[in-house]
Amino acid sequence: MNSPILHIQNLCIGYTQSICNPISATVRKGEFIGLAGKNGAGKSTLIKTLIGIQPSLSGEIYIKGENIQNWNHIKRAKEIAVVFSRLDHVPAIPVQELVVLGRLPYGNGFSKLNSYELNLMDESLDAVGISHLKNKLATELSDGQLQMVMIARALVQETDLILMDEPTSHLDIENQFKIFELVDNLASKTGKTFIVASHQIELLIQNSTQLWWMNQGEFHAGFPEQIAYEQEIFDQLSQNSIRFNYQTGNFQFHYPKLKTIGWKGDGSKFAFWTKKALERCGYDLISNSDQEIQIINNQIRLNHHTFETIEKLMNFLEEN
Amino acid sequence: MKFSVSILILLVLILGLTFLNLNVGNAKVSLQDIWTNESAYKLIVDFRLPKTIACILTGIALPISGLLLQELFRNPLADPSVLGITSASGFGVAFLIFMASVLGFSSFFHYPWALSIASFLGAFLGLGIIVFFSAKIQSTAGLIIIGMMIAGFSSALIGMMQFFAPSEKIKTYLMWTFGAFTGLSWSQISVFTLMVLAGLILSLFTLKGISGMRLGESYAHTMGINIKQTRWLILISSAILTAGATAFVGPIAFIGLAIPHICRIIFKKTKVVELYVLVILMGILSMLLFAWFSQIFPNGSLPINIITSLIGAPIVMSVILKRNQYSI
Repeated sequence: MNSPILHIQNLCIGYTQSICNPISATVRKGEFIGLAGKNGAGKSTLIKTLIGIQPSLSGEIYIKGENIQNWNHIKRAKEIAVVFSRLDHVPAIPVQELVVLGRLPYGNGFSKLNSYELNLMDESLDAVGISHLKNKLATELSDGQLQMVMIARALVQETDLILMDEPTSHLDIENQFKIFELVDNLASKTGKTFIVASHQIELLIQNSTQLWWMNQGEFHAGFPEQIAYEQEIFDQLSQNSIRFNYQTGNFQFHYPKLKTIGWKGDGSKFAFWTKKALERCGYDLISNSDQEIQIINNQIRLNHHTFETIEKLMNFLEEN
Repeated sequence: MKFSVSILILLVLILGLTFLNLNVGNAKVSLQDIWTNESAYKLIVDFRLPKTIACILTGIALPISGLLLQELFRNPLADPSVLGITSASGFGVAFLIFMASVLGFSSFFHYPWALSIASFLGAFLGLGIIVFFSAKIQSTAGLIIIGMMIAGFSSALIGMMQFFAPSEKIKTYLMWTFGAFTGLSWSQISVFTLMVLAGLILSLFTLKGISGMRLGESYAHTMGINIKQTRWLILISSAILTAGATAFVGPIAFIGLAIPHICRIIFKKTKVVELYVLVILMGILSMLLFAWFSQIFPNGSLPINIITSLIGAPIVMSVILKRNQYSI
């Protein structure tokens, strides 16, 4: 196993008093760390502490075996790049100019980029799949494209460790998947290590090599599914109205079951949505009943009645 | 337009306007007369040349100060007056004019440096207050509010003194507020030059920080930018530049606000370093143009502040109309 990139030892985080038990964890090259927890659990505080915006209360952080406590801004910037959830202010500058800001730790702000740096910029834009945007102004991009640009900028910063603080929180579902897929690919192809704080717990479990779970002042790190099982993560995240369904593998609204009705689907998409509508309206679907709803050739049959749309079925059930 | 071509055009125009400013004035004396006529030599070397240099220095100081503050505050309305330094400087001058005789140091008033020193002291008092608050307040928006409060407080004090002052003193103060490039001795020009150089050199250390801070302070921090140091350097350098210009030529309006916008929109340059150079050259060019323009009126030259406002306001309005995606 390769040597640790990041080693955290008894780290206490918080503003005046620790918000979590001492944190200890080890991260190796090429790992994808998923950092999860409810709002206020301390994910962002941990990220801020790792990048030096928030001082730690006690404990040590080692990067490649070196204690980072006395590192200056530039030394830190050469080892850790960060992608936040969004930009406070989107500057009216071209994408390539924004991406090369990642070279700031290495230059004086005046010198022109050398051929190595220009290549690095092109490679990074390519790796993220946004080469075609390089001459566009940042202000003309969508949130998803902008987040890709910020990842390319982090790659240009040439650090072994990239931290992401809720990078998908302002993105639509398609872009959320894109970002997770990209990070997964980058971690395995470039050997860079990613720590991604997110509320997308299912995506984190599916993609990460290690899960960090922060909950009620406790920190747990380990194999994602093991941590999810031991810490009952999905039960912790469930509430009265929203519960995790272990059969379907996703969070669902919990609808009280008021009535029972027979159900026989044909596995089609139409059957899927009809079943969803019935469950939402409080029907407990059972397999053997006098009254049975059947889905045949995108039509709904109930006793002698046939319905072409879900709405017509639901109206009928309501009236009877 | 390529950066180098823009620079070349601006430099040629600056040279031309420098020549015009040295050549044209109320007295019908031209540059070639300095070799044949001693009084022409004195007029050009001791009057028109310091005046032209004062123009150039002001053209550097106020627009650069405006650029730094607009970038720091990410606010298109930021200019040297936003920190309250110009008003505090005005308070220093008003205090000298209105209170010198009351407090028994009226003889000091006739000393040639008196207005400059009073303006300096006022500006540095304003700077002191801003620096004191910047150590305590983290938000840049908070600093803008403090700057506006300094300006408001200074104006109130000036208004109070004006209310009780005799009319001739009010006239003296009003003349100062008009701004003037004339009447500066070579020793005053030397101090003015030193202040602008000091401000410029300090500001050079902020350019890397400004580039990073375009993505916000959190991102800048993660890219190795020392936010606190950059903020301090911007505040101090822009205060020195503003204090220098206000002390020697008066509170000149519009230039600090307008020149950075004009450069962004005309040249469409986004790199901080390129913008910095263009703002310096465009600032010099504008001040030389305004100074030359102020000379062409038949009954003596118009005060510079009237010219900057007369020409500056329509320019800013047309710039806003043509506002493009490169605007801040």
